[in-house]
Amino acid sequence: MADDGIPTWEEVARTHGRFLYTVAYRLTGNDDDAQDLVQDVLLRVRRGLETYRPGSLEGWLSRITTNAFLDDVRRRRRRPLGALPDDPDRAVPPTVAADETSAAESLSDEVQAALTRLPEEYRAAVVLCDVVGLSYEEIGEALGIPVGTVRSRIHRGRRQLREALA
Amino acid sequence: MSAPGGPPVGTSGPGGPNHAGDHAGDLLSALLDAQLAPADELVVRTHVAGCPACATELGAVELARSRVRALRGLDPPFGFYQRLLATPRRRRWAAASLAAAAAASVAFVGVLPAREAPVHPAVATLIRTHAVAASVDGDPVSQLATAGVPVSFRP
Amino acid sequence: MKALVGAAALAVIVSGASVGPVLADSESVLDHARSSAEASSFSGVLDIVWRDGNVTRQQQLRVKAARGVLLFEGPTPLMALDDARLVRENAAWDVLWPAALRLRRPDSGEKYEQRMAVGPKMLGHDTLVIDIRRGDRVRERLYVEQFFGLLLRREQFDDRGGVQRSVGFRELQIDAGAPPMARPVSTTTKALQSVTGGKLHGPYSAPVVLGDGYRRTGVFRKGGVVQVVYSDGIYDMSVFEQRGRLGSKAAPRGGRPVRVGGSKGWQYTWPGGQVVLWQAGRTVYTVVADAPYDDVLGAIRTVRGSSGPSVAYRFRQACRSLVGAFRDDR
Repeated sequence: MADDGIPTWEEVARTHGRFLYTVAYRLTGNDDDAQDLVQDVLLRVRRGLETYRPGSLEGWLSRITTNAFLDDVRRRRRRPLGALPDDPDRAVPPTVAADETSAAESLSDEVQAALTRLPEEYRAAVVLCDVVGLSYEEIGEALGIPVGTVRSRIHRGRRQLREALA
Repeated sequence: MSAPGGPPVGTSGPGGPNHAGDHAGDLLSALLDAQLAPADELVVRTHVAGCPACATELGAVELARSRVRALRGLDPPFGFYQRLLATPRRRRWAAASLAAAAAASVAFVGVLPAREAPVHPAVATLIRTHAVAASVDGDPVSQLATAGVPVSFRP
Repeated sequence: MKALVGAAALAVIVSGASVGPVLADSESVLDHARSSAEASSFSGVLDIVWRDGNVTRQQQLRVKAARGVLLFEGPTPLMALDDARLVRENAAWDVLWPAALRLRRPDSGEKYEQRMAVGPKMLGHDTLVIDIRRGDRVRERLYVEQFFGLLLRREQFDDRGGVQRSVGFRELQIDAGAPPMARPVSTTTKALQSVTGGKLHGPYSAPVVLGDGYRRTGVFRKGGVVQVVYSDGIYDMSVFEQRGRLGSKAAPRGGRPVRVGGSKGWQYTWPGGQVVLWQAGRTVYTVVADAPYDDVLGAIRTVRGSSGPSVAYRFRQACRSLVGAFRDDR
């Protein structure tokens, strides 16, 4: 790490790539989009590092990731996208961490599928709370919404998840 | 969270909000996430103890929460880091380029926040508003004097 | 702005004795100056001088005070009525700031250091001079009249030590026996409503802390304009936020183009400080600050909306890269 405590872009990419990818995957539900999102995030991070103040890097990265995700969601809603190019390298699904059993794997697929079916605003709030572990206030800061809205989005998201997991 | 001096208010619960006689709604999630003040937590727990509907909802929401929390970290697929760090320029835009091409064929105005209303900040008024705030609990003579001078930005 | 100087300073003011340099303590000489301005009766003419790029501008302003009423007799009269602030427009006095509203500023001790010494004679009065330093540079110099405690002159310095702006009396008559001035009773208010920070959402934000020691002291709103006031103990900064987009002719002419994050903005100078205006995302930001420009930049960069490129900027970048990618692939 550089002396002034501010990481370089490469350091951020290496140290936090796994974390970013995990959050991106939980948000988007598929590997292609998750990789795109991470790339978009790292681009923003690279620009944002000029104004980064040492503090919670995970919180700062989460904020950038959900903003990038929601911006992309809004962009897609406005206009259709062309098909992404076929890329054999990218067809490999992500590997769940090695210590999980295959039963657990299919359970987590089920949860991920339910998560992906949530409306994006609910999904973002639930992911920031339960995957990243931010407080309601931090989530409010990240999404630009008041704490009461954070609370209701998380709650509604969880209720919908529960119904989907029945 | 709660109105000062009042009981916690929840939303999105059956029967609506407003006082502890109604249902807890999203306060149940706040309870699970430890985002309630201790006094509010006590009120909600007490309510749940006596309300079967909320106890059921708490259980449902608790299950969803723990299932998401049990999700492990993911390892990105092979080649992810190499692609990310090795040729950032080309890789970064290969996928976005199609998106950009599609976007370019739509009117530019559709992508920008052009639907937002145009804003003309009344800079002179904002300056005065600031100078007034800055003069409060400070020296009124030097702070307000600068606001008393007509503002113009001649190039 | 406020300065904090030792209790010894007040003794000096009261007794008129001369002392050597005194370090900052806990009593406030400017508080005393403020209450003097409120309690005294005087009239005078102020010289207001400020540098805008290479040009030095100057204005004079008549001011009168008697028993808590302080009146600035410019083209648009302003009044300090005890703690309230009023403006006279269209033959009526409107409240710009209600008397009951206070702002609690943070302690300036970490960022600034204050030193006081005996000052020169000004307009026939003995003065104390207070230097407010940041690091080894003097940012402000205040000349306080020793007997009544009135602030006679205030100078702000740029980073080369030149005077960036100043406000000072060129004429002053202190007249204890002056008759009281009429106290206007106003029913209309142009003041913004105070709001709690948690009530803002959507494109508005009001972080509690900005870079460079600026802490939030108040949040106000009127219609679509939100004002978040920050202070570093000496200087204040208002971040005005309006939802919308900056039309191509919306920025006043005469601004200096600047870049804030990835957005194009404009900087202006006014007698009391700086203005920086830019748009980021769905919000137009107008930052009005008292501090010298270099000092303000550090804080402005941490305003939300200044830390990332705008949608338009990213789109243009994507198009440029699209062209570049096709060119590279050939």
